Amino acid sequence: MSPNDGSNFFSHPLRSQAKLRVLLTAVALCTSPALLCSSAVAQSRSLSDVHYFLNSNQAPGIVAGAQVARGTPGVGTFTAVSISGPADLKVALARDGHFLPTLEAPVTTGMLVGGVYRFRVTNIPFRPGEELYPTLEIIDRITPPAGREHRFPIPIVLTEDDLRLALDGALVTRVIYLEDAENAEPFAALPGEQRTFDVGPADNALKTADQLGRPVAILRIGSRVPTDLQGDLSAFLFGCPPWVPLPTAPNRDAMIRDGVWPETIPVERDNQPFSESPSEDYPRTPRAL
Amino acid sequence: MRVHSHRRFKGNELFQSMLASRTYVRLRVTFGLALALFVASFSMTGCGTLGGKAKPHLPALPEPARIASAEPSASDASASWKLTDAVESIEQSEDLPPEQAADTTQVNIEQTRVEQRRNQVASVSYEAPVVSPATNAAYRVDDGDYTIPMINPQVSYEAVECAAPTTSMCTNCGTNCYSSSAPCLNVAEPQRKNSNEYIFDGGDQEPSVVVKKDWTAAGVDPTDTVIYYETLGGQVCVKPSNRVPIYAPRFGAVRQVTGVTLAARAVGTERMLAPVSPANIREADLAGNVTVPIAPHGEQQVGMLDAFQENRLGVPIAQVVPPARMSETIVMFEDITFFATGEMIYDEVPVLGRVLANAREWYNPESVEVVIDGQQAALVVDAKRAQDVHVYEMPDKCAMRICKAASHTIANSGDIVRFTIRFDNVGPKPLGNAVVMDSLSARLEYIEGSQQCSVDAKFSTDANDVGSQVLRWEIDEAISPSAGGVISFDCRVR
Repeated sequence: MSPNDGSNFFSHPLRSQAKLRVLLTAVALCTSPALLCSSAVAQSRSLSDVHYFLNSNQAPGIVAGAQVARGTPGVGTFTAVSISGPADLKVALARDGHFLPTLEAPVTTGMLVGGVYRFRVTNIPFRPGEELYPTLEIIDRITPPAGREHRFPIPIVLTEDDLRLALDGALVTRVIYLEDAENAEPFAALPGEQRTFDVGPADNALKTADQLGRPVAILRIGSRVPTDLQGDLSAFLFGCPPWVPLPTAPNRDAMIRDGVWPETIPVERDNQPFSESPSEDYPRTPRAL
Repeated sequence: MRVHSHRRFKGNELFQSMLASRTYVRLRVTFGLALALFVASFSMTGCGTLGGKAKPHLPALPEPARIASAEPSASDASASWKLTDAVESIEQSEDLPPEQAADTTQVNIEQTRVEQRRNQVASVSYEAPVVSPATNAAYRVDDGDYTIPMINPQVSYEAVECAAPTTSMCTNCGTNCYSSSAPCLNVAEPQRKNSNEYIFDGGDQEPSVVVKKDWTAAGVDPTDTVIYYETLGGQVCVKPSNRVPIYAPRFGAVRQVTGVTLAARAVGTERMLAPVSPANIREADLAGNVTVPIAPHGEQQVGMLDAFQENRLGVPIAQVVPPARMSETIVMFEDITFFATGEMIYDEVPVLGRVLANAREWYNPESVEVVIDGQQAALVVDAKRAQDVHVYEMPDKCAMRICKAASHTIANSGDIVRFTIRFDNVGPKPLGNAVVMDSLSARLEYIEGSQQCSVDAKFSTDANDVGSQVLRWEIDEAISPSAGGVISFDCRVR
């Protein structure tokens, strides 16, 4: 039986256990906030990617201006945008203070990230003779492989429902976002289809889009008459930011049908275990989908 | 003797027989190892090295291209080590782009030299490196059918594997995968901000895949692609494939409809405009007294129990020698350090020989047998001790390679992408119970009936947590060295 002289504190079994327990508790208390913070940061996106202090109900250009102010990568570059809608819909883009001749939708163009574009929508099938002047605010870009920009434009879809609401006097705001691939929903998206979530009038659609992915554009449909200020449309057109035309994605079936593209049969090698797929630009598309 | 059967080697008599022989071998080799030591040291004295020449009884080497490195540690074997380096440097030079090659003739000559040197390496590396008797006696014996693990392996053969499996994309996983000259093309991982524009498939995301006792896998997360299998030594291995990115961004929209009526209803409440302030303060609610905190007046010494102050140490665990029992029969040789820990002590050499002689009687079903070149070995007990110890290392290691490729690197929603998985046994021994699992991303939908497998396998699907499917192929037969298979299936991009 050895007396405890107190010189070696850890030599005592009870005290050593108590000391160890205290140390473990202290370490756990010290590290748990750091772990929580680090995990929260890891799971959430950085503050430079979200727009929680902004609102989609703000005037066109506020969000894009904030993107320019904080130097978001991609601001000042062109990104491919495709405006589509019901059949026979026509779209007119603006340049040099006036609208250009109309084009049949879909219209694919390169738009400036950080710019606000006003375009005119005419030939609405179910409301002939009426016009709409939506605005499109490009707030971020996507990075498709070089030379394949025309295959992956940001889809701006003017649905029939949105056009009806706007023509009846409502303001329809659509925040288009790039879906988070890791949290994507397992639904089958048809070509040209865009999944839409509806939020209430008091909600922040931009924040909701931030939580679902990365917002890239804001579409506002509601203007039915251009605010002509003594013949000057520059303010109405937001200064006519530049845009560049882009070729649309070629339709291989149509090209084969028109005889401008050869209908080739995939070549199979002898040592190839399975059949070959078509080329990179023209993946196999199911016939009955 | 009961065969220590590992799981279920389904319909694979070859592998079962190998397992059975492996279990039998564990007993045989344990005795045979010691006998071989005597045989090598006494009955073959004068040779200097056991493997002074290439031993015809040694098992056939794997293909030279599969020998990635041979690392004899002794200085006497430095010739083979340098030769291996030279071959590897030449193999690396084969990866140079065509414009950097000198000319075609020179390349052909170099390729011929590479093949010649590979063969030389194969033979030289297999010659036993000389280990000084003063060093620890670490060695191993391999007669081609079985292997016993030894400490401090001196020579090892490593399988050629895909470089950087988690960050590379294998674009040419055809027959070129057999070559050690970089079968996979490294592709830079997309930046984090842009990673949402890609669909990934392959690799092993955290938590890692583990294999359970019922031969199912846990931790197969969406986008994971792994192959797990079992070696002859009973080791369960999990090997993830490379990660394949496909550029396929998908967009959604959040719609908000507002109007005059709706906006008036939602914006502004009168309550918020009125300042909120206390109306009055009643003096009766003020505190009338102060609570004085109670402080300790003293400390009472608590007597400790003397019985608890005694630090009574237990028996050190390190002194307990774990029995290295190999069967239910009690055998006396377990007390020898060699059988307990694998360490050969020269002081025990005479004891070992005596014990082995006794073991032949006590352990009748597993009598000691050492056969070299078809001739019965003679046990010679002499005062001489071993002069040279030769190490032959045929490790029981995970030597399966799996590569994955997609038919397209970019795709839109609705497109069909074909995935191809190639797996190869790049080791020197068969691998069994191989199962390939591929958990698809939520953006990928497996097309029923599109899967194909070049080897016999049981295919099954199951739903995963993200609304897609987990594809599973159970390979029926063991995969022999230099053998493999190809799996292909189609997916529709959602």
